[in-house]
Amino acid sequence: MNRPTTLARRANLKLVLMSGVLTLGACAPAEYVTIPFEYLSMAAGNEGVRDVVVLRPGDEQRAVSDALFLAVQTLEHGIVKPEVAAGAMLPTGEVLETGFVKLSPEIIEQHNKASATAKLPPDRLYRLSYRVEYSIGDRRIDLRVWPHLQQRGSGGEWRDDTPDYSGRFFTDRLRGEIERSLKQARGQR
Amino acid sequence: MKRRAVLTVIWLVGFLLSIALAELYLHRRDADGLRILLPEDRLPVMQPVFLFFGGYLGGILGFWFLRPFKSAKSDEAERFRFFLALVCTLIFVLTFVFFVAYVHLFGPEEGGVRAHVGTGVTICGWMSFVVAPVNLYYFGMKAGRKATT
Repeated sequence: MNRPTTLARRANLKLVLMSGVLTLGACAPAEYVTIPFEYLSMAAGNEGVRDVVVLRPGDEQRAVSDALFLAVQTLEHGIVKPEVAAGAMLPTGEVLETGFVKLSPEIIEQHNKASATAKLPPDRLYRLSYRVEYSIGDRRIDLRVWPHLQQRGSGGEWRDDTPDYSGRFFTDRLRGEIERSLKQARGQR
Repeated sequence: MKRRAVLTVIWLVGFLLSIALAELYLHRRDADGLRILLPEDRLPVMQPVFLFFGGYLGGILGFWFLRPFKSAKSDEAERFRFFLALVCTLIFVLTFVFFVAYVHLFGPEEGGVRAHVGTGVTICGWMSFVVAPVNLYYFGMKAGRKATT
């Protein structure tokens, strides 16, 4: 009989612990998002195409920081960590944390329609915060997003142990707002 | 004997009523069709109810078998002790049940159920100096020859 080695037993234990943590669902796994962009000079001949994110060379971080800030505000969140002075840029390569915002029943309905497997029961209240990390590469903005959903009954306290939900759905909402902000800013810069 | 049984029943009914009221939060919906408590809230809400009653019921049930205090010298003193224990117990148990039922009566708010149960535990904890000695003495008193206990 082959007996499991200590390493194998440790690996099994890790798997059990990890599955426990994932089941708790305190924070959905990170979702990776890439937003491609063109530089203003390169896109000069392409002014008619409004669906491209265009940034000025040397101005990328300011533009992305402003867009991220605006997107978060549009979704009614605010950046709570780290504390950033008014007008300062949001740091790259650092996890930014937003405050929680209650989700309306309409958003839960949209989530349930968009997600084939993960459904959120509509008989409870939900709130969401994001943790976001962004970096700027070669003509691409890379985002790592951890949506963090909590639930409660009308007389209960907010809890992390939510049913399975689609982190992609909430990430796409943020991504959509960031892209919209970046495209809107195009004409103003 | 009968009087002790009446007091014991009041305590047990208060305990069971509190559990039932707390459990009901998990099954009732509010006016917007939302659950008042989620199944995951059961243990955090039930725990203070069990701990609260556990201390008293443990003593009361224990004194059914062990009676360390001397019996009252007269029927009149015995009747007065029973009256005192009955009034104190009713006020005490009803106060606690009121706080457990608070959200049923006045509607839900964030964290309301646990907060009100916690308030009940705290306020009844403050009142325990009134009820605990009276009840423990009454239940712990040896049955006298003339007494009807």
